[in-house]
Amino acid sequence: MVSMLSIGKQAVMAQRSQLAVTSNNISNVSTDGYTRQRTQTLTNVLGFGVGSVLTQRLNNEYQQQEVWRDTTSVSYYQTVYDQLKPIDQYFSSEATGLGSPMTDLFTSLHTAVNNPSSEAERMEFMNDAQKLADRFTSLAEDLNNSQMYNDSKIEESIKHANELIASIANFNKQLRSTEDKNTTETYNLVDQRDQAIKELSEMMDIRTYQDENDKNVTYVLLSSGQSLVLEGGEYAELSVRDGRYDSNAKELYCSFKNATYDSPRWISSENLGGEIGALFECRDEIDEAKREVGQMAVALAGAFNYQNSCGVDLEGNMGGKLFDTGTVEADGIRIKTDASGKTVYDKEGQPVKISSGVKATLEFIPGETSKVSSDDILIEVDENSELKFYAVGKDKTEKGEPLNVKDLGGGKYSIEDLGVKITLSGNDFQKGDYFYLRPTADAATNFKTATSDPARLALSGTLAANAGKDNMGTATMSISALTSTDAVTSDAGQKPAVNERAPTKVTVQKQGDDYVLTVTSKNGQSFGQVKVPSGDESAKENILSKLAATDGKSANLAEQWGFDISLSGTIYAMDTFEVVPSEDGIGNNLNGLALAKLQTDDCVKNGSYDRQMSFSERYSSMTTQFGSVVNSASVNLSAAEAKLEQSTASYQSTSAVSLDEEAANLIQFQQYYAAAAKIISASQSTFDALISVV
Amino acid sequence: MSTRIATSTIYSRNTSYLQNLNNKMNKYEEQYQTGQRYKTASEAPSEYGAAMRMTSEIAMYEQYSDNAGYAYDNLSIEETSLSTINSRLDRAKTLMQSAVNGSYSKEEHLAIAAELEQIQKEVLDLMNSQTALGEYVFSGSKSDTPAFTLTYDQSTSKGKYVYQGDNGQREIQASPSVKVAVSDSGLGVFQKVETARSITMGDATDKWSYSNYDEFVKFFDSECDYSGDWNLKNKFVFQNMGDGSVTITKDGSPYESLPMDDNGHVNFHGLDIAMNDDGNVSFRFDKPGTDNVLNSIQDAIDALKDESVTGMDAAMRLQKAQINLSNVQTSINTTLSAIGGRQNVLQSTMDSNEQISDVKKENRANIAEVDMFEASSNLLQVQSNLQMAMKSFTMITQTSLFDYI
Repeated sequence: MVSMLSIGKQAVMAQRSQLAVTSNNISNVSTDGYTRQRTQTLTNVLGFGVGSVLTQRLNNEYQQQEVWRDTTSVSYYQTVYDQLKPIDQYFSSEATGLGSPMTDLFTSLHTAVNNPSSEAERMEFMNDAQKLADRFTSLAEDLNNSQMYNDSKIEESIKHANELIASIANFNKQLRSTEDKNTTETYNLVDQRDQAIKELSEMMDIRTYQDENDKNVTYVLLSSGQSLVLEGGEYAELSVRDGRYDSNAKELYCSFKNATYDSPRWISSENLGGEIGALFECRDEIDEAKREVGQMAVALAGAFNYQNSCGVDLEGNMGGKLFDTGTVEADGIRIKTDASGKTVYDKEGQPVKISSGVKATLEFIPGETSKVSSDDILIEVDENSELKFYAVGKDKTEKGEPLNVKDLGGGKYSIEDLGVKITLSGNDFQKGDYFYLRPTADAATNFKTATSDPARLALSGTLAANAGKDNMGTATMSISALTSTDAVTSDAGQKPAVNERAPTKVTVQKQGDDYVLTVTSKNGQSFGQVKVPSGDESAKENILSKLAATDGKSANLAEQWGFDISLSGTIYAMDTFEVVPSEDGIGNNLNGLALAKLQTDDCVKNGSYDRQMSFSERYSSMTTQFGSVVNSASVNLSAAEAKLEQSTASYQSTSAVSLDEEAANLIQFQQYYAAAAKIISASQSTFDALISVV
Repeated sequence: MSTRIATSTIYSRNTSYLQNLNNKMNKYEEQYQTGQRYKTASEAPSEYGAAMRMTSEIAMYEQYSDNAGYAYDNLSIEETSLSTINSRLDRAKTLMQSAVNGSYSKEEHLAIAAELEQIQKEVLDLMNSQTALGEYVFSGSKSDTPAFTLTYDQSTSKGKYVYQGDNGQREIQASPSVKVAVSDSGLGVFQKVETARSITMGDATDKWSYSNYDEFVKFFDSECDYSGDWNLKNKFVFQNMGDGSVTITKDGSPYESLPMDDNGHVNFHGLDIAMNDDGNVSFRFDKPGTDNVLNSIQDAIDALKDESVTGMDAAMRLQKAQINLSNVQTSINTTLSAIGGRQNVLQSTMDSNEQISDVKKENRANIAEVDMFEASSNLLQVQSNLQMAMKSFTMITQTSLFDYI
């Protein structure tokens, strides 16, 4: 009798806990990280009735870890896509990209070249130049904003990751001290800890392993092997620091809480995975986009400025700058040392950087901007106190081979392969001092028009040609090619003047039936003679290219001096011809044609590669390049999402709640409970029957 | 064995499926609206890049065609001016010839002079032709200055037409590789034109004229010594021997002996030299030179208007003017054929630009533009998929065991 009551009681209790677990399952159907539980009842080993009730957490660790890994890759690609998609849009859109304003600029340039004396057409060009400048700056601003947003996101994500790491360590501590390992309460703690791990797996690619003695306790490390949550209760704290050389770059460091050693160590952001890995990678991509758009700005400004300086403007003066891209300079940085020569660190463990007092200024060599690379330039003082120059690309930690540099003396250095000249303001160098120059990074931000005066567009060539007043022949001389201003000595804004040493004078002499053209300079130097057999018209064309150069390196005089001359018409002995500066040749468009040709000329390097292309080719290749990054992120994202969906479904098939199943369980356990209650009521009625008999 | 499906799986699966369909629907709708296959480079990087390149190239070729059209118009203006000048010069030559041949009275000479003045004015206007934008066609680079103007010449105390432009020639880019000249400087066409080969008599009262200009030119070119001081050379002295013949020396050396006709004239290599009463005549070659047609016409006008200029003098000056006019016409014809050549080049360049541009447009359309039928059928298909998905979602989620207990 007693046993029937106690059996009934045990059974009711057992079914109640079954019902409780079922209700718990039902109520947590939408709880993130909740793992379905199940109770198992065991027979009483000591006698009748149900024995102990065991609650189990239905978790498959392999499936769980697969979900975490898939979560990492989804989050990685999602972040790359989200961060870089705007850049793809800036580049691609007609309203924000450089494509259409560049086309417009050249269209109005062509029209101005066709009508070089028309102010209205020149004004149109100036307006389009301003529009292009505005587009450059707004694109640069978009990129700067993307970078700032990306940087703040890095900070946020690191902060969030640190919170998660700390809370995982904290959950582990609680779990380790829990006495009863198999209760719903403990399982709830494990669920919460695993949820934190899952959130951490969104941040970066992690691996986990369980404590050998307590399988509720899980330790976390990075896929690279770097521990994040350690066995002794220690855990990592991540931090972001400025780049080793580029103060603008960001690098990831890791130190330990509750640890005996706390010197921060550098962690490679490569293969870090997850949101943080993606953010670091996007940072490099955005920085590259900035440098490459800047490279376009430098090349475009350089090509236009140089060609404009080769011509004469509407007022008869040598042309000047049309665009400006600002100055590029950097202070020398020195790592601070104490009296004994040891590096001084600040309280965060970073070496203290001070200014060396020397400033580096970078200039683009006029006419050489097509060689300018999108790379940054690092100048470092080596152990022999010599300056070493390096090109630094997307990977800021990679220095590569030193660049080929020419020491021009007086603190001036030229890197001809990159079309730049660097001036150092002093010579106080110590081993390890460095300069970090970013030639193109801010060029687009600073891009502006240098003039809005339509007259400043130098469409006219610098040179014209006169025939002698007393010439007997009908011949006229013309400038048949004009490629540089070497034959002109004036500076921007001045009237052009012919170089006294240039081959500018031609005198005709008769030799038998033939004529001979003698070429001399204004100051009387003779450059030799060109023979013109009678009736040979082509002998009078491109005269300078038929004479040997005097500088010992050019192929001929025309190449040496950057122009050539041709005669047409009849010539007589003693006829003379002279190259003169063009004065107010407002209808001359010789230089305008050269300016318009910049549209198809190879004016800009392909990033840091040694291949030059035209502006529009470069811009479309740039757009394609960033489009590809976003495209592969988007393709990989769909694949990763599909994979995650699959692994989640298979994990959920074990661990998540099915309401239909719980409904069935509910009915089942209700019935069991009712049956158990019947045992008690049966024992009651049995007891009552007994009493009434008594 | 059947798999256990968790409730959350049912929901998340359906939501992601619906999301996918919505994204697709959005994309197809955008394609349908804009006609463009891609919105950003990331959707198809290499195709988008190619389309971008083509867009900029198409714009470039359109610009080249504009340039070529502009050049064609400019050349047409030049051509019209030059042809008109040519026909006016024909008329001027005819007038001059009639004055040389005919025994016209002074009044008739004045009438011819008046018509020549009219022609001179017309030719000056044509030489100062302007484009629609007011640029002078023949001024070279100084397109804001009239090509020719009348100035006062100190040395002759008379008016003289001078060229004010320069030797500049404007070109335009008609295709990436073709540059075409759209103007010709008046310096080459009108100013630097050879004037008639001529002589100066030792005594200004002695008379001469051309009997055969071409023969004279041949003689001049073979005999003329260009070296040294011009004033000390190329001097021919004619000595009347009194026996009906004339002995000629060149720069002191015996040269030739020729008969004299009944009128006392000697036909000397295309020149008609009148011997004077002294029996001693000499002349020198004039330095070859160049001048513009306006001054030549002016000289003819002066000769016709000046009563003191008669007979051989008048004939000689009108002959010279005619030769000068012919030389200008040769120069104009050379320029006209050059213009014709350039117009041909422009025409074929415009044609090929158009073809290239058409091909590129078609390529771009193939790559980056969406076919409307395809776009609309895509849109309809994804729309019906979406409706089905929504229906099945509600059907699946409506069935729950809880509804039955």
